[in-house]
Amino acid sequence: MSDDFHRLAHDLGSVAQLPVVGSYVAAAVERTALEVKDGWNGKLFADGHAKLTGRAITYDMVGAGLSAEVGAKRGSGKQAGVVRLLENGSVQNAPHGYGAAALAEREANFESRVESAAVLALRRAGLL
Amino acid sequence: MTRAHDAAVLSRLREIRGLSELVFDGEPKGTKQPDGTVLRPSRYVNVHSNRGIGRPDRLAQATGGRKRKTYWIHSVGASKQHADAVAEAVIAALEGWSPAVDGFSCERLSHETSQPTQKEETSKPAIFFAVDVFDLYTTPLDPTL
Repeated sequence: MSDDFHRLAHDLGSVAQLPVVGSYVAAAVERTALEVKDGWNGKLFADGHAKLTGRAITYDMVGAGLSAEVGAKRGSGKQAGVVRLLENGSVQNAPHGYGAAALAEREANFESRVESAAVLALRRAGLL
Repeated sequence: MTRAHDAAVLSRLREIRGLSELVFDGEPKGTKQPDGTVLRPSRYVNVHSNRGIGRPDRLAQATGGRKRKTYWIHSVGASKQHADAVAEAVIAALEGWSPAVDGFSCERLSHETSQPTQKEETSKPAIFFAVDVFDLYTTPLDPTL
């Protein structure tokens, strides 16, 4: 997770204290988590060494749905254990950073969705 | 441009006591053995980096040319304790440190990920390695660069 995401998550944590905002932000988080999951799975499949990862990358919504954890779940896919090796590398292998890249590719979409969520929430509350 | 940042990071790591000759830029060097295998040092640091991706600061109204570079640092040792000690020295050297690179304004490195130390069984003899990931945000002083 990038520094920008940490800061954004912190800000969201404050904003989401308002229930009307929380549900919209949660939807933005879940949709982005889904995209990151699919993007990461796609990159793994495109890598010739990890075609058997199948759908190893999954996501879980955490807490009140305002954060999500995306990653390889043990037992999901025949090569789930390879995912970490590919992500951060090993003594014999350079890191591939597929997960980090999948996340970076969706950052702009995520920020845009959160902006939309704020507008929708304000409209619903009659403040816009 | 990103190689100047890499050079600054490598130079910083080479200042760590006892590691000046043991910090590698993606390709650890070793001594070739008579049987053709390469014997690597019993402890070393191997640095991998990407070339940086455009990442404007949403809080600073998208300053031009700001990029995020990611460094994957592999800290290797003959035992778990060795690898942990190397990793701790790496973290102490990089976390919160800001490189000085001509023509760029560099922010402080942030420690983004720390992977538990693992045993690498395929190496003979087996060695241990830890991975720590750092992000560096950097902005050219001349936005046209």
